[in-house]
Amino acid sequence: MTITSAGRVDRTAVLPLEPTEEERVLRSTVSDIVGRFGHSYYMERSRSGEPMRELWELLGKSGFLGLNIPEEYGGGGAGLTELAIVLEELSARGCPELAMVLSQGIAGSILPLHGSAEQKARYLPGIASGAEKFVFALTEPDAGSNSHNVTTSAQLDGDEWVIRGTKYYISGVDHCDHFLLVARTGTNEATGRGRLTLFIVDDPNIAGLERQPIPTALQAPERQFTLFFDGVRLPADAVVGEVGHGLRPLFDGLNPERVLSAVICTGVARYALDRAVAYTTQRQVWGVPIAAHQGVQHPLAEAAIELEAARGMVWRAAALFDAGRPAGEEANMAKFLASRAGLKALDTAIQMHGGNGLADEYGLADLWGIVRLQQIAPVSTQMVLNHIAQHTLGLPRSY
Amino acid sequence: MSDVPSLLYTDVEDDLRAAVRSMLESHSPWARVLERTDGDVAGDRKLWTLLTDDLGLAGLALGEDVGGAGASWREVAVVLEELGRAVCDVPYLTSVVTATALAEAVGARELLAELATGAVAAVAVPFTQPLDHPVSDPPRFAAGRIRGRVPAVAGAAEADVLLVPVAGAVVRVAAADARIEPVPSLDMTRRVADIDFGAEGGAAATVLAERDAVPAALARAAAVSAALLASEQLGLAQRCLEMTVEYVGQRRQFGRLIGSYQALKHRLADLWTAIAQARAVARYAAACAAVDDKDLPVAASLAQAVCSVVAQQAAEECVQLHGGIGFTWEHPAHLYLKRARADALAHGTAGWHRRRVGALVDLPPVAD
Repeated sequence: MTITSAGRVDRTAVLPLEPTEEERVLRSTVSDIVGRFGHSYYMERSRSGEPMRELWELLGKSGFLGLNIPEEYGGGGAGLTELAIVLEELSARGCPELAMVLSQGIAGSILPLHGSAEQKARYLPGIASGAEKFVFALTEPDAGSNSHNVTTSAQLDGDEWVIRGTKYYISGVDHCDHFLLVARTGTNEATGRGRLTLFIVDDPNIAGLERQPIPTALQAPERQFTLFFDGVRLPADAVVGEVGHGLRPLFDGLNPERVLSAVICTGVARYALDRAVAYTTQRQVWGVPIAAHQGVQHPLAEAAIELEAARGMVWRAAALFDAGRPAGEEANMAKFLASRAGLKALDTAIQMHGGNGLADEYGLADLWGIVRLQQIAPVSTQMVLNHIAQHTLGLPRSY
Repeated sequence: MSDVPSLLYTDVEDDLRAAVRSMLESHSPWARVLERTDGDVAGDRKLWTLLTDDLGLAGLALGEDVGGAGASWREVAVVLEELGRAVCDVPYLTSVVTATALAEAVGARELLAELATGAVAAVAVPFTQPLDHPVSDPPRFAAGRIRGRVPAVAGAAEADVLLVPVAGAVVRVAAADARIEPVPSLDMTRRVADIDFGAEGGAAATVLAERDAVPAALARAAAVSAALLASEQLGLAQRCLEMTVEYVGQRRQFGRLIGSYQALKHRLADLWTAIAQARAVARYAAACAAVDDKDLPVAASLAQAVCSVVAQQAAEECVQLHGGIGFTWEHPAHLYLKRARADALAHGTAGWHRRRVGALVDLPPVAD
């Protein structure tokens, strides 16, 4: 397929009501690739904790991982929309890939805008091809939704930064080649908030860094970790953007993160509804397929309606982002709607499978964790409501 | 809580229910209720006489020493279920429950004896206001005269006697001495009226309770009112469910009874379970009122938090599942919907009561 080389700045905020031929081809090509692996592949890797390496490499080789990365760095030069299409198709075939959210989504959005020439040349080609994977270390035990409370510190010692502190719920560190790190390099005396700086940690096995897995109900190839930084030394050129202004690049990664989290949910929802339709039309009880009952049809129809409504908001958010327009409101709304629609579709599909809904063979219940997660991360449902109440409706800040 | 007896209906309560239902079926069919909503007269006086004189329901919860029947708020609750079922226009909740509970709490024996014979009283507080929640501009009382206004009081137009909370006292005023102006309201089966005691000379008033006795008396009457209103809401909800089940068992579409569609039968099953919960909290609240259990304030607010919602849900389902016919004047569904809506505001909304439950069970208050 061909991907338009138009850069993000040339795109207008237009959303076609019907998929373009290019989108159709992109979707079906990706879907065919993922279909060769199937959900059992995801399940197997979730159990072993190994990455879905073969699928990742195949997608990378075919150019589907770097769609949002500028062409000069080996990417497709398209946008978030195209990247999100790929991730939705992965999810719709039962292989949601969290690594894409972190590597292409966050790092791949931040570095082209805020990285130095050397950083871009060094890291973007690896992100684009998938050969090198980034994760993202922001949250701490006392700094979850409130990033200003980050206490992990970075202090200059000669021309090196020395990092001390703890990061919490950091995904996929064992699969990554590099990660982005947010640390406090000072405190704003007026507000008491941290002055934050964004760093690249080139080597996740660097001296002074320990990691400890956190067992969770999430069944995904990625594990969660606590990271302990005890005097980790980073070179001066590890800083992304300006010292003390790390929130600026950070915010440029948030909207892609929300949109990509949303398409994991809409993709899994499509997968779940496909499975439910296949099962309920074939399964007979009392002489008719159970799909003949309104008690089965209506919840599935409702889930389908809510899914399409959520998808409308997802593609709108992605289009706005790609056109360089403010997209925070739409990206938050998209994540909110998609996470609910995903959870509802999956839960309904599980219910319609009766006892089989929890059987590994039917491949549904193991996806609960990754969909349920999106009510909490990357931003909780309640923080989205706070944001919309305050910024869209102009209500007083409540937290 | 351990003192609260079984919440199941006793034989005596079943007999009482049967007697009231039979009376209402004969004398307050819904067509009569509907017809009366177009008229000018608040309260079905003929029905009131039958209920109080023939069945002796006015003094049900009062002791025999003041001429009452010596039963309790539990039996009154059963009567209210039946009155709610039939959306009757009688001042039973306002007089036999709210005014009687307040008269009892202030020890107004003379008034209680009048109430036991069927005299109608109303507490001059807006119907939407919990009695123990201060009103912004209460009437002023001084030197045996009362002045000022109280808006939107239920049961006032039917009343012979008004009980009026004022600063530091509860006073008694003859209804004939006040100007009582009925105002249109959504629920014309329980009308509300504005009371004006006059600004200049005011109206003559006698003190029933003063100072320290007042807050506790109002709190008691508020709790009993909220607790018992739940039974009216329960009866209303139950009737809405029954009408709807009957309808979906007769109406055919696409060659089938519509009640055979899961989309409808599951909805009605959900409503049934909601009403079972409403019955549990309404009965518990009535039982707490009957034995003056210390859990009454929680039970009363819990009952309102649940029953206000369930009664409206039942009335809305009744309209929806009756299809077009449920939306017409010639079907009683609208009477139930309006009553359910008005009841949801009466004596504090469900939200107000949830907040109060929070305070009563020591949850931290919402930051202001």
